Amino acid sequence: MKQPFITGSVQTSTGIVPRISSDLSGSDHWGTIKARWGVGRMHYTVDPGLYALGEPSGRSPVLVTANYKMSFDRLREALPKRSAWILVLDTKGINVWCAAGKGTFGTDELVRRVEFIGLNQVVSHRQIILPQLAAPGVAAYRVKKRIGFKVIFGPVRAADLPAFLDAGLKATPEMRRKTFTTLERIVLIPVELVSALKWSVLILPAFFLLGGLGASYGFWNNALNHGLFAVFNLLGASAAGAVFTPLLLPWLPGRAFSQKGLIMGLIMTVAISVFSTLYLNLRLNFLEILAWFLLKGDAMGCTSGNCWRSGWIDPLVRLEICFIKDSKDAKNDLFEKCGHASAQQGKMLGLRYVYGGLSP
Amino acid sequence: MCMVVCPHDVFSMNSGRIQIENEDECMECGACAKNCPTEALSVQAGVGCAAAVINSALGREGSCCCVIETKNKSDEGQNTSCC
Repeated sequence: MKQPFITGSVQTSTGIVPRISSDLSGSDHWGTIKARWGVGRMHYTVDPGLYALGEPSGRSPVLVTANYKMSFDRLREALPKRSAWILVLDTKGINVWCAAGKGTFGTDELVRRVEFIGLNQVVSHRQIILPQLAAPGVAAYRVKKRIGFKVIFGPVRAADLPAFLDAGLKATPEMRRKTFTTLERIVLIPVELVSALKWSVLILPAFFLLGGLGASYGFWNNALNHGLFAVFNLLGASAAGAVFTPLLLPWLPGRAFSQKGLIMGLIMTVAISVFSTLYLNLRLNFLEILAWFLLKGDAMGCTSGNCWRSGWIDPLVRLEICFIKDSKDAKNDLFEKCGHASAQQGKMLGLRYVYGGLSP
Repeated sequence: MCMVVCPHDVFSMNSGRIQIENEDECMECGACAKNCPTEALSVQAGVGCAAAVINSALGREGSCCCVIETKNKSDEGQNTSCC
C-alpha cells in the first residue's frame, strides 16, 4: 500500500525500515475528521510492521500500536523530536482497546510480529512498550516466556508517553486511569449520529407515508400529523441514543448503560409527545405513546452498530445481533469496533469503543 | 500486575496482598485476569450485563462478574464479587 506519511527509510540489520515523522500532515488531520464522521473508518489502516520514528538506534524504545490509522497518528504525534521504533500489529484496522478485547491485539499476534520482523536483531535490549489498554489481549508474562521480550505497559493515553519515557518507564496513577470526560464523549457523537441516521434515509419517508394510511382525514392530512409524529419519534431516538445519552451520561441515573438509555428514551418520548400534541393536529392515547417509547428502545439500540447507544432492549436484542455478527468476517463488521464487548457487556459497550478511539 | 493494567483502579495493595477495593469501578475488561501469572483472578465477563440489570432491578444480590480465588499468597484476596 502506498503510505504518504512515510518520509524515508532506515537501514537495519534485518533490512530497510520505513521512516515516519511525528508531524501530521493536512491529509492526516483530514483522515481523522473523516473517521470521526464514519467515512471510510473501517478501511483507515496502516500496513502492519516496523517503522522508524526519528533516528532510532539499537537502544531506542519499541512502542507497539494497532494498525488503525488514528491510533498510529495519536502515537507518533505524541512523540515530537524523539526517536523510537514503532511496531504496528495487524489488528484489522481496529483500535487498541477494542482489538485487545477481541484478542486481535493479542499475545499471539505480538509474538508472531516480533519474530517476523526480527526485532531481536534490530534492538539490543529486550523490552517492548505497549499501551496499557492492550492488556485485555496481551499476557505480558506469556510474551516474556515465548520470545524473551519484557512487555511494559505504558500509559493509557499516548499523550503521556513523553513523561512516561522521561520518568524511566514509570507511569503515574493518573496515567493508568481511563477517563471518560465530556470532551471525550463529544468527539464520538458524529460517528454515532451518522451511523444512526444512515438508516433514516429509507425509514423516515416510509414512516411518513405509512402515517397517511388508516385514519379518516385524508392521506396528506394524516401523513402530516401521524406520519410526522412517527418521524419525530425516530429522529428523537437517534438523537437520544447518539447525542443526549452520551452527552448527559454522568448525570443520567443508574449505572447500566441500558438504564441510562431507558431514562433518556422516556424523556425523549414525553418531550416529543407534548410537542406533537401542541403543534400537530393529533390526539395521542397512552398506548400509542407507549408503543413509541418501546420502539425507541429498539431504534436506539439497534439501528446503529455502535456501542454506547444502548436502548433498554439492548441487553437482549444486542446480544442476538452481536452473536450473529461475531460469527461473520469481523473486518467488515461495524460491531468489531467494539470488540467482543458488544456481544456481552451492556455496561461497557460504550466505554470500550470510546476508549479505543482515543488511545494508541 | 493487576494493579498496573487495571484502567479503573479497582485493586489496592494491603500489607502485601492485593484486594479488590472498588468493585463498582470494574468494567470487566479482563486485563487483570489476562495478566495474572498465577491465575488467581478470573473475570467472568458477559454474565454481567443483561443478568446484572435484571437482578439488580429485582433486588437480588450476589450476581457476580469477577472473583478473586484464594489460591496463592502473593495475589491472595478475599473471595469477593464485583459488578
